[in-house]
Parts: sequence; C-alpha cells; structure tokens
Amino acid sequence: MGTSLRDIIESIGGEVIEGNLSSVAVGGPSSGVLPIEKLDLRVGPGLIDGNSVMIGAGGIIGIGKGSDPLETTRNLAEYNANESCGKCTPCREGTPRILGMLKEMRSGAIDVPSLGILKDLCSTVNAASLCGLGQAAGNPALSYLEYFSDKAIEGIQTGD
Amino acid sequence: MATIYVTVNGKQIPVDGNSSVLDAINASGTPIPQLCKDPDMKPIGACRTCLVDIDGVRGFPASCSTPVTEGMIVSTNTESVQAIRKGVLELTAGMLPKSDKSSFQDLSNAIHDSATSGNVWPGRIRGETDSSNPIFNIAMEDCILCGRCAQACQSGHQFIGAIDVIGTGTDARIGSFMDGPLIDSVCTTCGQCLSVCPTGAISPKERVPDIAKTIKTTCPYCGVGCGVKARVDDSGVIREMLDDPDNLSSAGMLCVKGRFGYTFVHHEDRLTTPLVRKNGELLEATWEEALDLVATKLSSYRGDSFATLCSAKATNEDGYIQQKFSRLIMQSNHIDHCTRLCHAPSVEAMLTSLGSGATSNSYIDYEEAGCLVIIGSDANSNHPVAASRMRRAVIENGAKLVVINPRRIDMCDFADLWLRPRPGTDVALLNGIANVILAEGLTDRKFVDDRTEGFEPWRDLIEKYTPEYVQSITGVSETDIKAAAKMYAAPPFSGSCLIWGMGITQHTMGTANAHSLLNLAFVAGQLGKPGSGISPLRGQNNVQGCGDAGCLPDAFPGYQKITPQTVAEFSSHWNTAVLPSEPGLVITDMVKAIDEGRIRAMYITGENPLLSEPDLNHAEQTFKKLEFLVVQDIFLHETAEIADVVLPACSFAEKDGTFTNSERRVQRIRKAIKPIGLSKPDWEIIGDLGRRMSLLNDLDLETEFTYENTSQIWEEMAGYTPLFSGITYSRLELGGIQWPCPDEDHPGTRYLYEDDFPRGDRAKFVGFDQGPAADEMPTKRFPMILNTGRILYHWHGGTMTRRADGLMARSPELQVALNPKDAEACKIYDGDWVRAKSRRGKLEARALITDSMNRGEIFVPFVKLKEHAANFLTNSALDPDSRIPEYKVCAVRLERV
Repeated sequence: MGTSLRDIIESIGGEVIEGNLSSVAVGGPSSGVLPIEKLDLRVGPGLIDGNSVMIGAGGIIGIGKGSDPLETTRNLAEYNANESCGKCTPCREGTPRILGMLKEMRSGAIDVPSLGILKDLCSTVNAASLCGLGQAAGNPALSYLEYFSDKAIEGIQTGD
Repeated sequence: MATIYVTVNGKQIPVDGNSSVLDAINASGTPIPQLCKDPDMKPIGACRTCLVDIDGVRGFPASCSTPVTEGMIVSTNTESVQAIRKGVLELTAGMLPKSDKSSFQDLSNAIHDSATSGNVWPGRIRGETDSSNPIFNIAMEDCILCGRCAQACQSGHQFIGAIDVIGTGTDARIGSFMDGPLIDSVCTTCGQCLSVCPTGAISPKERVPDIAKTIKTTCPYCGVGCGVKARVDDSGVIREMLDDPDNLSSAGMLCVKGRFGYTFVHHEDRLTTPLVRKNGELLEATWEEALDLVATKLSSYRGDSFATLCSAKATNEDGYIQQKFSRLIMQSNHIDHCTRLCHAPSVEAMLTSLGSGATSNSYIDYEEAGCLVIIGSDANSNHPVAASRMRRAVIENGAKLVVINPRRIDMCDFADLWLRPRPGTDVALLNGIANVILAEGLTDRKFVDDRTEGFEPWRDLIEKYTPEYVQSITGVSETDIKAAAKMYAAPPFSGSCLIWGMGITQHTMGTANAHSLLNLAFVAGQLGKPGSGISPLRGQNNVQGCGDAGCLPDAFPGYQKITPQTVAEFSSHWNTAVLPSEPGLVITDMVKAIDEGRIRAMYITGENPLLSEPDLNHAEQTFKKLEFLVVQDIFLHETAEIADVVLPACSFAEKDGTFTNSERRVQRIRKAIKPIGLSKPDWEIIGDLGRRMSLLNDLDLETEFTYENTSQIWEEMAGYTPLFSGITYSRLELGGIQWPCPDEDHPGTRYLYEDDFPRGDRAKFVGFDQGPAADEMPTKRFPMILNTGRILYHWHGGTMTRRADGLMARSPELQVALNPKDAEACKIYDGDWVRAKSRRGKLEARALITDSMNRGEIFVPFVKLKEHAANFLTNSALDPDSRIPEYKVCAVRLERV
C-alpha cells in the first residue's frame, strides 16, 4: 500500500514503460483502465483515481503499445455481462447494453452524444444494482470514457 | 409495534415500527414506482425502481427492503436519485417491445412521472411464450422479470415451486423444471402467478373485458372457505375471480377451482325455469304452477313418509329454512345432508368423546405447529389452499410432516415420514402409535389425569398393539411406527396437529378410526393450545354450516339434540307449532326406507344422490320407487332427471347468505349477479312453499316463512343458537367470525377446548380393536382393491366442474391409477382404455400407470366423466355407528377394453 503503480511495474517488469505500454488495467472487471500518465497514482483502499479504478482483485496488467485499451475495456465489460445473474434489472439489462455500446465504438457505429448516454448508463448500473458485481460493472467503461475520450471521439470521427 | 415517525420529502409520517421505507412513502401519498413489490408478499428488491435517498445512508437503497427507523429522513425527489430511477425505468422499458404497453399501467405511470420517454433502448430479443397451460400463457415478450410470479408460486403464497427465474443475465426467463413446458411441471394451474403479474405477461388465454363492479364473496367449492372477489362486466357476467388478501382463511390464495372454476355459473345448462313432469316428460312450468303442485302433493305426505336432503353447497340460511320447513310444515325429522357420506364418523366420534363435532383448530394452527400428521387426506387435491398453509409450516418453519396414506399423494414430496398401511388397517396403526407413546414415556400425564376419562381401559386395550404386532397387520415397519409416534407426541417446537379426510371415515370401521385418532390427541395432550388440535377437513363449502343450521335428523340448529325440552323450546320459538319429537332417519337409512316403501316423498336440494351414493345401479332403482320427488338445483343432474318437479335455484353468485368453513368461520356470500333465468334462492323457494302449504293445511305458520332478506333469517337462527348468537351480518361486513361466538363483544374462537369440553370437564378415551379390514376383500374373481377419492380439477361428482372449460381441459377423462407391476400383469399400457368391474357394476377409464399406487390397489376419482363413475362399483356396506358407506374399499378386477 502506498507504492505507486509505476514503482510496482518497474520493480517487476523493469524499465519497460515508456514506449512499450499504451495503458494499464488495474484490478479486475470491477475496475478499469488507466493511461500511462496516471502511473504515479499510489495503490490504496477504494478508488485510487477517485473515479472508477480500484485495486480490487489486485491484478495489474500492462497493455502493450499495439493493443487498444478499448479492447481491454470491452473484455472486462463482457465478463460483467456474462456474469450478471439476472435478478436485478439495472445489472441484467444494463451490462449487455454497456457491452453493446463498446462494441459499437469499436466499429464506429456510434455518435458522440451517445458517449454521454453510455456514461449515464454506467452510473445507473453502478448506483442501482443489487449486489457488488452490478455496483461496479460500469467501472471499465467509465474509466475508458474518463481517460480515453479523445481517442474515443477520434475513433468515431475516423470510423476507425 | 409502536408507531414511529419518519420524514418523507420534508413531511413527517407516522408509521408502524415494522414498516418498510416504501410503506412510509406510500402512506405519505408520494408516487414512486414499485414494480416488483407485491402488496401482499415480502420484498424482492429486484426491480430497483423504488430507490431513495436516506440521510446518513450511502448510495440509494431500495425502499421496499429497507426497514424504517425512528427519525429517518427519506427523499424521493433529489436530482441524483431521480436520475438513477429514470435510468432504471428506461432499462425496464427497453425489455418490452415497442408496441402498445398500456396494459402495464404501473410502468407507464412511472415512466410518465419520471419524465422519461421510455424509448431510450431498443427492445431486446426475448424467450418464447409458454402456451402449454390450457387457461393462461406465460409470454416472456411482456415480462420485466420482476419475479413476483415465482415468489407467489413459492414462499410468497403457494409453496408449489412450479416456476422460477431460470437462466442468467439476459437469458433469464420465467420457466419450469428442466426448462420444459409448464404443463409438464408440478404446476396446479392455481393462477397465483397470474394474479400477481404486473405486466400481463402471464395472462388468461381469454381476454378479460372491462369490469363494471367487484363483489367480495366466498368460494363455492371446498370447505377451506377462501375469500374471492367476483369481477362482473356491464352485462352482468362474471369475467374473473380474484383472491382476497384480507380473508383470514385463504390469506390471499386460491386454487384452480376457486380461481377458474366459476364459469359453471353462466353455463348454458343452468336450469332457468321450473319443470313439471307431464306424461312422463319434464316440461317447463311457471313458478305458480310448480309450487302449487308441490304444495298440494306434499300435503298428503306430511309425517314419516316424507324426507328431505339439504345442501351443503347452499347457505346457512337456506339450510335453516329447509329444516324448519321439514319439521314445522312436513312434520318430519327425516332431515340429513351429505355429511353422512363424508365426516359422519368423525362427528360421531367427536360428539361421543368431546361433545362437539367440529374441527378444533384453525389453519393458522397448521402454520404454527411443530408437527403435522395428515392421514387419509389428499389435501393438495381436495383442500388446496389449506395444503399450501401446511407446506408453509414444513418449508418455512421446519415443522415435521407425517403422511399416512396407502397412495403416494403429492404431499409425500414434503414429508419427513410416509406410512403406507394396508387399506382398512388404520385402527391397528393408530393403536400402534399410541402403544409407542405409552411405552416410551411420551404420554402427557397432566392432560390425561386432569382432562380425560376412560384412560385405564383404553391403555389395557392398547397394550397388545406392539409395533411388531402392528407391522404384521398394517405392513408399516416398526421403525416408522416408532418414528411417527415420537414426531407426533414430541414435536420439535409448538404442538402437533392431526388432520384427516375421507380415508379415515369412509370405511366400515370409520367411527373406530376417528376414535383412534382422538385417543392419540388425548394421550399426547395435543389439544386446546395453539399449534395443536384435530381437523377433520370438511369437503363442501358449507358442510359445517349445514349441520350447524340443524339439517340433521336428531338435532335442532346448533347441535341441540332433540329432547322433550328442546322440542318445547323450538315450538315456542316457532309460533307454538307442533313438532315431531322423535329423531329422524339418516340418509343411508332413508335409502333403505324408500326401498321398503316407508318413505314415499322426498325434497332434495343441491344434492345428487344418484351420483354420490354407493352402488349407483341400486340407488337409481331405489329413488325411482318414490311416489313424489322434488329436486331443487342449478343443473338437471342425474337425480333431477327422475324427479316429478324440478325447481331452479340460484347459485352462490346470485344470492346473499353465509357459509361456514372447515375452521368454523362464518363468512358472507354476496349477490354478484342477477339470478339466471327464473331461478330463485333456496330460502325464497322453500319459504314460498311453506306459506302455500301453511294456508292449504290451515297451519297458521305463514309468518314463520316470511322473510325480507337473509339477514333476518340469520338473526332468527342466531337468536336460538348460543354457538353463534354473537355473530351478526353487520359484524360479518368486517370479515368472517369463528364460532363459538356467544355475544357481540366476543372476537370468535380460534381453537376449542382450552379449558373444558362441551361434554364436560373431561374428554373420553374410546378404544377400538382392529376389525376386519373391509366388508369386501379381494377374491380370485375380483383380485384388486378399489380406492376412490377426488382429484384437484374436479369437484365431487363433477356437476359443476364438468361445466368449467378450463378444468375440463386439464382433466377431460376419467383415469384409473394402477401400479406398473399390475399393469404389466394385466397387459395394460399407459393411456389404454380399461374396464373396471365390481360385483355391482362397471366403468371404463384411461389407464394411468404410476408407482404412487401400491400393488393390488387401484384408484378412481368419483367424478363422472363421459358417463363413467366410480360409484357404479362401490359397496354400500355401512359403518355401524355413523351409517357411512365404505367408499374406500371394494373388490374389483381390471381388464383392457
């Protein structure tokens, strides 16, 4: 606790950050993805970025330059949608819709105002769900929108 | 619990301390969506549309599942919580197709209130509609997965467990076991799921039209006495029957017959006009013509040559007037009703040992009991809502359940112990259980010493019924006999209830069986305290009331035995009329008296002896001997077809009055629709006849048969009957009351015998030895034993249920249940048409091969379907004490058609 993400990564993986990593996924599917500019955040209880990322299950995954953090986010969201038990409405109905929108972002079939809808959706799922899975299921997409929104808008505009 | 105060949106609201935050919000009148919360079930907390802000609480809790605390400050209208609720409602709306969803008013209103268009998300692909049930569909297309239906099927109400939410995530759906069609599941079509569905996803196949009025009344089927609400359209047709959560007997539940079996009321077969036999044919007649004829004819049969059968389906008031008519006008005490064919042995035994023939406890006692012993009763089929309350005791509270039945009835699925005695060996089995109680020190010494008599001779008789000996007679293992004794006499908590049905009574040893049960209750002291008691489950809606009202050959209303003193009393009540002073004949002896020409005229109301008597071929010959037969009923059934005059009566839906159920609860029935055709309530018809005959015979008793309404009749009866003198129609407006209720301040009585017994301070042990198992045992020519009873989808002989399409769809044909090994021996395959023959008759039915049957035993319900009925086979041998026929055992053979 108290150590920065950068220190942890460098002490294990060596000085490989600059130029090699595009982003870092912290925690599990209840957490999110950070850009490398945020690596000085220190590991601690609760949301370490005050937004949507926590240490959670304890995993720290470096995402290589060639990989897209959107793909990582989609992966995490897919896990949540698959694991939703189906009892409460926001999680059951919300998690597949989050996943759907992330997929649409990948294919460019989404407009910029929809990013706002996605953000509201994630907040609803987090705030309204019955159990811990749903209450954090919006975090991956929220983190992506927080830290990679430029990239998202750029992607939408170029259709990339 | 004490009242506390909570603040809702700045307003102080007083609520009960046990309330939820949602209750407080609703009490404040603040609108808030609550899609998954049924007002009568516990919160599920799944729809997440009732989220609120509570000061000092993190996040947005669901108000339905959050208990209130003193001084709590709740807001439903902060910007953040409104936004969250709006988001959830949008997701909910996205589950449904974009077509007209006006049926889902709650969601529409909620969406409107939250200023949401409801169209943010496109509808998603949903599961298929399950249309396998003949009465209703489950359409996932319209489902919001609130889960109310599954809750109602399970712990919310019925404890059946046919449906649940299956699958996960967006694959979640309402389904049944192994994802099969509903019709193949344990579903009983009770429709509780349908009643709680807020969206119409579970809806009747036939659309319910606009409803003009809703009338609270009481179900006309079994003795459980469920509250129902008849929903009537503009044209005066009942379109829907709803459960009544305020009713204390049914607690918001109904079974398939109660909810969907009401359609007989409007069936085209209803009798709409009096019929008079002319030249051998029944022809339509006016009321004047018919009643004048009956009055003239019956005038020549006054006295012992007249007998009357009252109806346990009619009201207390109807019964009171009919017995009064027979005693005053006809000068005959030959008055009886169908109890003779069901619980007469129970009543006989209870009158001897206790002094009262009623169920001692209430359904709530089943729920509170630590052990339930159900013997000779298929409550799931015959008293479905009481059975749900028994299952609640077992599943929710962990009560022990002992089922004693030769058939593997559905209740066995929930039992800790199932004993399967050979038919007709109940006395030995019950004596064996008593033997263990005595031997293992489980006797309630205090109860026995202080409150019983006859213990020593009974104990001496029981001595030889060791488990070993009893095993040899009954086939039940020693271990099981011992286990049953321990469960009953030493329940894990609270008390034990003994519950029985026709399996005990319809034997030549019926009264002995009933006494043996009572002895168990005495020796274990399981009487007169909450969670204990004895319950002969009553079959007909008003069989309790029919006896209460005096439709008995040997007693006036309220079981006041015919003695010179009571005769004098009632004579003075009834305009100093002369009354017959000797007890009359019971129904089974009436049949004999008809045969011998002693009874020559009969008046039968709402009974169909030519379907319910044993040995029907013989019964028909007998009733045809009557010189004059009047039948008053709602359908032209088998008995009516041979009558001289048929009078059309109103059904329960067309009249006012009261029914008294199995737990002694007097409940109102109310006129919901106009009489069908020219039909009239029974009390009006008999009252009219009474006045005519009084004039004709110069009896000066017209005023005794002049009433403006049923309230006046009740008032008169209650005035002469201490058991219910405290019950009035105005009190009944607030809900049913359980007798005894001696005065207007008395709340009614949940259980009897807390301090003493009607016969005195002490209950009486009456011991019996096991006699011959039955009058007729298997032989080489008739090698199998026929057991009769009922099935869930049909009511008794089926006069009503055969005329309810939904019930017929679930059970269109007579089935004969037999063991697979017997089927193999007789070369019978499942679904084959088979013929069952006894010495007296035969029937044809479809084979139902099931291991619920013991080898050598077959079961046929006594409903008549396609002209085939079990009572063509049954034996008219009688129990010597109560005169009940042995419906439960006779020898038959089976062959393929």
